[in-house]
Amino acid sequence: MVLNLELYDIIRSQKGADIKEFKKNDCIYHEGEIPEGIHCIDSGKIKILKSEINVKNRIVQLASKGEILGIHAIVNNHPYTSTAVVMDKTKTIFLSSDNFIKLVESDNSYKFLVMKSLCSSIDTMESHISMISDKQSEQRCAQTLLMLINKYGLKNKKILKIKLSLDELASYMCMSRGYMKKIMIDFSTNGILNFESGEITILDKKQLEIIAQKAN
Amino acid sequence: VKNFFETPSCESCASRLSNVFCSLNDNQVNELALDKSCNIYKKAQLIFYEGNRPTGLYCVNQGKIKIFQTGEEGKEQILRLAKEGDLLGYRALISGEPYSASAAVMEDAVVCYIPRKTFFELLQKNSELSNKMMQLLSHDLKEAEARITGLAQKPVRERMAETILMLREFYGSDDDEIINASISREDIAGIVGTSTETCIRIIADFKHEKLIVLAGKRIKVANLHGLIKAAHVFD
Repeated sequence: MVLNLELYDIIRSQKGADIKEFKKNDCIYHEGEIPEGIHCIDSGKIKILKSEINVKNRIVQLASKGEILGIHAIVNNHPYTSTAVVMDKTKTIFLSSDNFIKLVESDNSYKFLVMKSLCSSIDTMESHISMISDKQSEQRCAQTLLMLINKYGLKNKKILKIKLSLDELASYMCMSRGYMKKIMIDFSTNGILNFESGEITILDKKQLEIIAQKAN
Repeated sequence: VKNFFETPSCESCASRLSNVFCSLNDNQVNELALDKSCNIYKKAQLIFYEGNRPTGLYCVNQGKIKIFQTGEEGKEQILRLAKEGDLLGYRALISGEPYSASAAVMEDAVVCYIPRKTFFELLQKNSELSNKMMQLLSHDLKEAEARITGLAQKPVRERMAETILMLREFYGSDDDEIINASISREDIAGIVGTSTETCIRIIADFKHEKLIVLAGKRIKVANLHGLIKAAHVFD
């Protein structure tokens, strides 16, 4: 995944850029709210949720350092289309809408950077779309775990640093909770991973990669 | 017999006036017209391939195009559809990444090609064009977000009804309420994200329920209200 460090650095050094800190389960913004500004993630983990009929909330994206949230709502001047909730202590750099628009208007090449940032968000979403619609459930599960390892890293080279509940993981992979649990149990009996009290320990990353690549 | 083909002129092009290039001034339109090239693509022909590096931007003058990714076993997942006035391949061009999907023609198309250099120069020169591009990408992001929730939750039947409604809205329908697109069942299955067999079965169900009438490959929406109900679209 391409990070937008250039735009991120520019926003960081802007006058009027504020550092905001959030605790776990804080909500950075709500779906339907009028955007006040953009948030660049400096550290931490954030889940982006979207409400659905009959379903509590579905995770559509997981965000981490370097990603910028809320741009599209400001550019097209509409309310937020999703909700951002903090999963782990997070620091963001906040720039108000007015300042952001002023910044972007000041130089055409900044607009290009904004476009790039939007592109990389869309790419992430589209690869997620093709994953949930194309892959078999076992593959989906393996691929999602690998994505989480890549994005957030492992503690002690083993334990996933990100803590998602089974419900959240299942919603992200678009499976029922029961079915996902079954796959996870299969994985753990095959010695690929261990999951206890919300912590996932990866024992055999190679095997996960093989499963994720496997043709149906 | 070789068909007579005249390269569409940018100046009076309805496609240009309906997309981001409407913000160009006369000089810039001339520049665009000088640098672009134009091709006819036949049904099923590919315009660009997933994994290749982009060298320019495509602007659809006429025709219907699908943008898709190929999974294992060659199964297609259609991500988006395009029609006259739409741009193709701009995301890969801007991000500098290889194409994340392929584009193929569903109904014969005329597509213009704008070289990378020309497009980037115009972006730098014309701030209105840059604004329009930002807005376009922001819109795409919103759509992608909505697509995930749509795919994830709805059963195939609802997605199918939704797809027919989407095609109707996207391509429009004629006086007899027949959708202006003849799209193969395989492609419809690719959009919905299901097998061709299931797709054909559900279309037959819809026909029995008198929600739709089939006119060859084209679909006529007979009971719009019923179809909306089947799709569970609330907005």
